[in-house]
Amino acid sequence: MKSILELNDKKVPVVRIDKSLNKYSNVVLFPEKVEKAKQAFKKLGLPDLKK
Amino acid sequence: MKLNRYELKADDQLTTFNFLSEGIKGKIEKIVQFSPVNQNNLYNLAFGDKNLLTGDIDDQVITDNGDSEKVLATVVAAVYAFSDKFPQAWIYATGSTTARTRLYRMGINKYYEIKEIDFEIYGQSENEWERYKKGKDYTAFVIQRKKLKFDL
Repeated sequence: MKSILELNDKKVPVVRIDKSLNKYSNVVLFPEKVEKAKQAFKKLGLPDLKK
Repeated sequence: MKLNRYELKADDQLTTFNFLSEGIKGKIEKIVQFSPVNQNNLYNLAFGDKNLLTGDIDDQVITDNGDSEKVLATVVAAVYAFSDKFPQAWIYATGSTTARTRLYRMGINKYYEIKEIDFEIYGQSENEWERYKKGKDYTAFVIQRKKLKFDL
């Protein structure tokens, strides 16, 4: 069996679920950043994967 | 390449993560959040420090805890965890200041060889997205997990 330390060396980490963080699940903690993202996607759309 | 990083915790949905930065200024709780933008599969990535007195999250603060590389590696790990659950997600990131955007760029550059294998990475240059070029200045970044290709 692999130890937690070995598993944490993988790119996809072991993440412990902490239910105390659920209070943030539906709260936007960084509204100004989200607004910037909205504006960028509105203006530029999505990248062209063929480029 | 071994990424030295902090232990990550997350909410049930794997959209909000936290970890404890430990450095010269003591222990500082960091919050990383992937917030949906108004269309399907578009998310914003942001992170900041939690003020233990007020509970407020501040993404403008310059922590200077002497562990920025470990912090960046932990944020990269959060990106892997999030995109493992939401592989279709486009993740947008920009800094709250020019200096913070430069920090994001340093993070992408540092882990570029690893991330480039697993992610499509674009930078915002003028008025378009272009494939990320290491070392070039961008105002924002957007990434998506690469789709697995199987040869039959």
